Amino acid sequence: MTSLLKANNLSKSYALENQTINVLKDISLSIKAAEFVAIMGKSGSGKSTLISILAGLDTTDFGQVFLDDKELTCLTEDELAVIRQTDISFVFQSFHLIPTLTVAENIGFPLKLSGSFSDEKVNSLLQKVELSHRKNSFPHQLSGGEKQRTAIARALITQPKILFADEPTGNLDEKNAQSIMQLLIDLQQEFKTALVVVTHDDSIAQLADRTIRIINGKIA
Amino acid sequence: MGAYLTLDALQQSVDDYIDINQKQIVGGDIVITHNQAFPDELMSRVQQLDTNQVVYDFQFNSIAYTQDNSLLTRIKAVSSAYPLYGELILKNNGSLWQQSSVLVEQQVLSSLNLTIGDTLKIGEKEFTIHDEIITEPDRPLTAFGFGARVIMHKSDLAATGLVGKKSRVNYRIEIKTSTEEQQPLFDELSALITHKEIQIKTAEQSNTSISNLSQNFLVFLKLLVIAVIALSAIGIMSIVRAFVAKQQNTNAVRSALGEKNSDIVQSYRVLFLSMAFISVILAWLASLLVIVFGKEAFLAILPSDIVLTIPLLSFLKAIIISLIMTGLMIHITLIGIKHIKPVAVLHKHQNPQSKAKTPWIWLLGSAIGILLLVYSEINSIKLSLQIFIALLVMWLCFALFTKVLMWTIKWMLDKNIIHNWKTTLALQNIFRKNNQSALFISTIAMTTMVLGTITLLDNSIQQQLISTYPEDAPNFFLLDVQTNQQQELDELLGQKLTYYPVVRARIKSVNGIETAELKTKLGRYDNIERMYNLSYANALLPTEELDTSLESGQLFADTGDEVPLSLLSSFAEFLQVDLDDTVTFNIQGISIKAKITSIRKRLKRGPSPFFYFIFPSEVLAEAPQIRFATAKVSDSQRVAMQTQIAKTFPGITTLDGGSIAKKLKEFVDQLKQLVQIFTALSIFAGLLIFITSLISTSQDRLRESFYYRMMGMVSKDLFKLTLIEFLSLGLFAFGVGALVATLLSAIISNNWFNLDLVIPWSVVIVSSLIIIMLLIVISVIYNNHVKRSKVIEFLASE
Repeated sequence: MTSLLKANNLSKSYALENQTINVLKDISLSIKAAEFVAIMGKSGSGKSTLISILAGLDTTDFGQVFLDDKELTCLTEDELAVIRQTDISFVFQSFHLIPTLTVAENIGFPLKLSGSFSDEKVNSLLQKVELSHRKNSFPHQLSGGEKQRTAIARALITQPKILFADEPTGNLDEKNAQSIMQLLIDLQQEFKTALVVVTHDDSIAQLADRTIRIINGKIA
Repeated sequence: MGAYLTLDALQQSVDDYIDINQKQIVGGDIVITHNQAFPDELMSRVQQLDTNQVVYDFQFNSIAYTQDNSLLTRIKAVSSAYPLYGELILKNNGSLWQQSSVLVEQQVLSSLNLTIGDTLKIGEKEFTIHDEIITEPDRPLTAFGFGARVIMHKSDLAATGLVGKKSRVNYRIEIKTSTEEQQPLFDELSALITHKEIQIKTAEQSNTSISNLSQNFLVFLKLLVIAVIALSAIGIMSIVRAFVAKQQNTNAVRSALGEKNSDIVQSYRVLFLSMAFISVILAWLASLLVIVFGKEAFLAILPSDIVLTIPLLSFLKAIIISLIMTGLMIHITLIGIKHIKPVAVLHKHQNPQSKAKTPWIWLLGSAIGILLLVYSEINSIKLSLQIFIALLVMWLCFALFTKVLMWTIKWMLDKNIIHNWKTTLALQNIFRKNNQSALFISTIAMTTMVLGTITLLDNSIQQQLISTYPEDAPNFFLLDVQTNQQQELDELLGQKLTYYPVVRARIKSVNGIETAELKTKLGRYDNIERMYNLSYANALLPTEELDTSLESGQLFADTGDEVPLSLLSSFAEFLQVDLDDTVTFNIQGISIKAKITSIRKRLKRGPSPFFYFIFPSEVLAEAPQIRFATAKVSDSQRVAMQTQIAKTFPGITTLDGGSIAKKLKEFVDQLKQLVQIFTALSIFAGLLIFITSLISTSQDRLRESFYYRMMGMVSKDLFKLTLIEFLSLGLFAFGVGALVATLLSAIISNNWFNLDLVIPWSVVIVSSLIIIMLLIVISVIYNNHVKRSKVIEFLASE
């Protein structure tokens, strides 16, 4: 199978009080379509920086990222935004739902951005994440698990090619974490979306097709 | 505070000016005034005084003219001792008095194209212009007055032939005396005065036009500024809240580490009170700049030779007001901190300030503070309460209006009435926590309402009375016309003039109640003890209609022993009288009791003559009287006509309606500008709230922007969202203000001025464009700020 996402020789450093911290050092990797990849590493190892660069949310000092042969690292903010409308999605540890929108509005929002809004798609996703009864609730009225379900539904509504999840269960209890992770994997398989999960949790990594370990900014 | 300090400093400077120059402004230690020649007993006694210590002063309006030009002037004829106090400053420092010469103010020279040394005629006498007046000691304010000043020596007065022909001559005697002699002389002269109309006052008892201005206009401006201070107090609350919200985590950590909440509050208190103190120092500097470089703006209400300073007392007042206000606002805002539970903040469980109760006691304290501030300016509990309640009601109305508006928007959003998702999203953002949208809308709406009402009323008055003088209204008024001059005047002007007989009289009593007693019970519409102009006619004026009458359609009815009287409705309202009530007049010594047989209404207000009291011809025809005439003369003919009348009938004073309206406009414009400047300060209070709302919501806004960008929103759409939100907020605020201003102005102009509301569309369009541009600029600046904030930095901070 050909690579969906490809990163070549990525390097990234930050200046901190006259000192340069090399966060990523010459990282190259590739992710296939519909593949589930776990990225693991200690705090400060550079894993979150890596997925931010892979997703086009951050820039590199050196190296390129390609999505379907399109180089993301040379695109403008707006060009990247258009790609995020359809091809790339995110799920975060802190959910990041829009507080002024209801559950249904949050889920349907990416469709409005890409101009392909449909109530059917929203309702279908609501059913899949078992939140139909909460469709008119606002984020502050939801439990942590419900918030993450909404975030997952929002991330998958455009059927993206790749979904990045940064510690998606970090804010949840064990029971909720398991159920959310299962939901994520089920939907990833249903939508044939590539899934890249940053995690500390070995049990999640065990569910992945493969695991990439980052130590001191390098792939181990 | 800078505005308050400036006004307080002006007020103090004016008070000091009056204290120091009271005798100069009044003219002497004792001043006697009358509207006709003084009785012999009084004159005999005054003539016994040292001639160097007494000034005889006659003032009246007359037309000064040259061969082909003329000008309305205010003549002042004085004896040699003038001025007793102060100095009459002349351009060439020439001697004051020379036979057959006059001193004139600059306007006379420019209007009549004359220079010093030229001649002009006043009445029947020709005068040489001896010098130009720069300042008069007893006329500190020159911004507004009918007639340019001409000063002549009293000995030349008789030769003008004007005294005796003029109906409105002010006779004054000014006396200089030592402090010891003042009271005995005052008592002695008072004893000689038998006529009620003659007024005798010491310098201390005399009101001056400048002290009235100080008490009225400056206090009015200060009340406007107090309203701005009240709005600023809300702005301060909003700043403190935004500032503390940004430091919420730090405070939670400080608290978790064991620092008492009261110590945290105290640290804020010290910080903000220090800032308030520094602000007053800055206000003092700003005020100093205004006083040094902006004195011109206050020319209408300040004497040209006044020395402006910022007294220590004003500075201390500003510090006290500022510290108390800031202290109260900090206390009210920081009460919430005492309820903060560090764990709730650090784990972002709930709004940490939501449990704080509304500090009603402290809000009441703040309200009392504002009330005391108003009271300190006007020294009347009743009026202070009225103003305070009016302000409060206005605030509540706007708060309610805003609430209804916000509720309507929310309802429209809930019902999906707005289909454009970007507009929906932007409107939803108005309800963002800490957005203070309602506060912003109500504050800006109130400011817009005040400024809008001033602009609309000013425009309506100008359009209908000043700029476009009513076409059917007379524009040329002739005073002191003798009955035997009527025919010749008509021939001179080539038209039949409208003549109105005028009989001067005072009101003695109304329904048997003496005027002195009534004065305390009636409103401020007029002074019942003044001299009134009565007239007689047997038909209604064309500009009036009957409101009610004893006999249908008739001005007068048979009333037995009493004479019938027709009264104007506005004055009937003031006197609180109706048909069949009685009014007793003192017409030059003769008492006439009249019964009200009809009440008239003016069809439209404007420059047409009207009389409060009209009697049947047979009642007043034989009374001593003068005639007042009106005419309609074209602009091109007016000066020539005025000159011709002055030459032929020197005793007649002509008033040019158009130029009086222009003069009035200049004066009103100066006052209006000051009002607008001080009202506009409240826009700063509104902007303060807007900016603090941006600060306190900046984190939320950045977070939202991040969400949108993460999901693929392009920067153009991000800008649209910000623009729609800001434009909606701004236009709601200005729209509500403009709407209320239009309604209010329509009510005021229709009911008070009898004028139609004329909307200045050019001003409305330009103002709207400026507001829209301003909101677009703010949106662009804000959007650039968001674009510069990197998504990844936000992620790291979260």
